[in-house]
Amino acid sequence: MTGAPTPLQRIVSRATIWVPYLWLLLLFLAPFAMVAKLSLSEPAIAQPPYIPAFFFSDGLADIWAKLQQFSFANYVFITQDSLYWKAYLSSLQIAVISTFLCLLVGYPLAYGMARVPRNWRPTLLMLVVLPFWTSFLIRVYAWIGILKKEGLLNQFLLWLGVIGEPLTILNTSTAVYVGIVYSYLPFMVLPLYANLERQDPTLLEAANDLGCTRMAAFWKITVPLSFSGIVAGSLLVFIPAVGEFVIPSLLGGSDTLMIGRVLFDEFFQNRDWPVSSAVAVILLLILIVPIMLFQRSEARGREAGR
Amino acid sequence: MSAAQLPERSSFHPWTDPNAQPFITFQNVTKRYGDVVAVDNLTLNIYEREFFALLGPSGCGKTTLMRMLAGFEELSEGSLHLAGEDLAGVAPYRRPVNMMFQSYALFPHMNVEANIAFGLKQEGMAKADIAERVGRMLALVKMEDFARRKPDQLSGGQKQRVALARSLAKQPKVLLLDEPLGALDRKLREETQFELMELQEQLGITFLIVTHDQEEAMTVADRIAVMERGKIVQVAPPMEIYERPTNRYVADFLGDIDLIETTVAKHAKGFVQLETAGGVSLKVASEDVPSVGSTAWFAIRPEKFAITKAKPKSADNLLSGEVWDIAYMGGMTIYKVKLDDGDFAKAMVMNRDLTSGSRITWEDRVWLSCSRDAARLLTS
Ligand SMILES: Nc1ncnc2c1ncn2[C@@H]1O[C@H](COP(=O)(O)OP(=O)(O)OP(=O)(O)O)[C@@H](O)[C@H]1O
Ligand SMILES: [Mg+2]
Repeated sequence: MTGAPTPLQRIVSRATIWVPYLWLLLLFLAPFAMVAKLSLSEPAIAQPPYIPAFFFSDGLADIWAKLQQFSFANYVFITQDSLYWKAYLSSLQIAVISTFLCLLVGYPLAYGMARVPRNWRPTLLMLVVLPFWTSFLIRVYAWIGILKKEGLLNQFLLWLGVIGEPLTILNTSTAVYVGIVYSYLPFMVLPLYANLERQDPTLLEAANDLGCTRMAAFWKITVPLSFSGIVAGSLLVFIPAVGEFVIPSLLGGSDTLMIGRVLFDEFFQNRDWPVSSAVAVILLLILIVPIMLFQRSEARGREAGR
Repeated sequence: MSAAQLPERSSFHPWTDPNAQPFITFQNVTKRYGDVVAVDNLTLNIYEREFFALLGPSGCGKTTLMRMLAGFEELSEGSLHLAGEDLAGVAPYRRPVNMMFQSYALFPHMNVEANIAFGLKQEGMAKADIAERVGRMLALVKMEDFARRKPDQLSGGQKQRVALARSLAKQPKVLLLDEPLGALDRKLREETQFELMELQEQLGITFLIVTHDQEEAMTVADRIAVMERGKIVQVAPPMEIYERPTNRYVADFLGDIDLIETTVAKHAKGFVQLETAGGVSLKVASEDVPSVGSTAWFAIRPEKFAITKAKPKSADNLLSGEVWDIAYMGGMTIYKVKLDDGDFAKAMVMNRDLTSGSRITWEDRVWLSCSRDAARLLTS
């Protein structure tokens, strides 16, 4: 029996629509508002170490009055010290290269997983997720043991006779790349696998039938069709990689400049909460812009198809 | 179709010519998937420019047969030749064969135009020629207005037409059509059938078509193969396969047929006399002479039965019964008659005038009659 929805049903269905927004509000917008507000305040030797720009408990009129005399001093400071924009640029560079490396390693992996006989796939999927069962921190520490001068990798290479003396990998940017690619690979593989596994194999047969070699069919059919998987995986790797803190701290040297480390130092070493908040806000803006641009182009692409 | 081409077609029967070279040869081909035998020791010759139809129930191996020819499946046993060349080990993209897939397999990220142009681009055809060919193909399947649409913005029938256009675009030597017209409405389907036949005349393509529609097979095909569980039961031109089926399976699969189980009573000159379980004796012209006492089936198409209320004065075969059901089909009426021995038989009558359909009604006692030449004797 389907009749007009009862008031209760209507409320429930409304509520389900609002759940994601509530989620967004509680876990993203509210913390963001707090950080943004913090970034406008002045540092002070106090507990907590800043003078608030305004209070959310002030009346609206009061907030408005204070808004007009806001100081963006913290933001100005960030633009003046080259340390910050160098750290942003170097983070972006490291994130872009790591994302690309993840794609390079992850695509064949996901492709292979999507092509093996069906009954193998759950096992392989399990193996991809398996590292999550141990702590992230422990896994990164393990890499120290592998990469350090007298570590497993060097011992192995020496034993093979490929190298005469141990390589310095730990505390270089190479180690940071290794750490990021290793840690974020599953985030690349999973969306790609989901996409590739869904693709209809008869499309490749059709391409074969129309004169494509297997290789050509891969580039003309499989890759374009997996574009959304590539984008999803790349965003999942790129976004956390930009703000990554643990990996450069543990594996990187003093010359590996990343914004996550700068932020941490600003917050805990300098105890300059307002500046570190400003650093965080700018980082967020840097990350949000490409996402929005991408979504716009997606929407336009979809419309152009009509 | 122009009238000038018809005589040519009607004299097209290379399969009766012992000197004709077959174009496609399946020689003792078997295809197994694990334990499943999809195609079972099958031998089949198809000739150049032939329009060849495969008929058979779901799962009998029609698609498998096509996929082997297209190069997507390796043969488990046997050999396959095309224009004298052994196809073993020849990759699909090297075969002059194009296939229209049962699931269409249109590329979802390309619009209609790009889908049709795909094979031509692959071939390295000049841009202007591609545009011209694509335009012709679009016109052929009446999809000009949809050139810029993506496949997911098309209806099932429209997708089917694009798939057809795409497989035709390269003008291959052999075109494999796996249920090409199933999703089209009746009118469009009939039009497309004629388009296909005309195209085949023009381009000299050899067509291999799978269809579930017997009428379609009868309309378009030079020869029809009826398959059952991976084997071919009979290959013959439409008329022969309809009029002279070799066994009950083929007879029953193509069109309607009344099958009456009988025992062979005696042989006479040019005909065999049969006897039903109810003791009615029936005559059928036959070259075969099954041994007396063996079981045989008296097979007759419903339209070959005459149905009357009065007992005909003279007829080779006479059966009496009661009208059990009547199906009025517009152009004709089908009577389902319960014979005196309890079996059912169907008789079909053309409705020549407005009242003819109403003369015989439910529960009337009627006579079914036919000549010995109208029926066929089947022993298996
Ligand atoms: N890849 C495969 N693996 C295992 N069995 C298969 C495979 N492809 C086909 N078969 C089996 O082979 C037999 C023939 O299949 P095929 O697709 O040729 O049938 P079909 O005559 O085309 O049927 P339909 O009319 O339903 O399309 C079926 O029993 C099917 O289950
Ligand atoms: Mg099939």
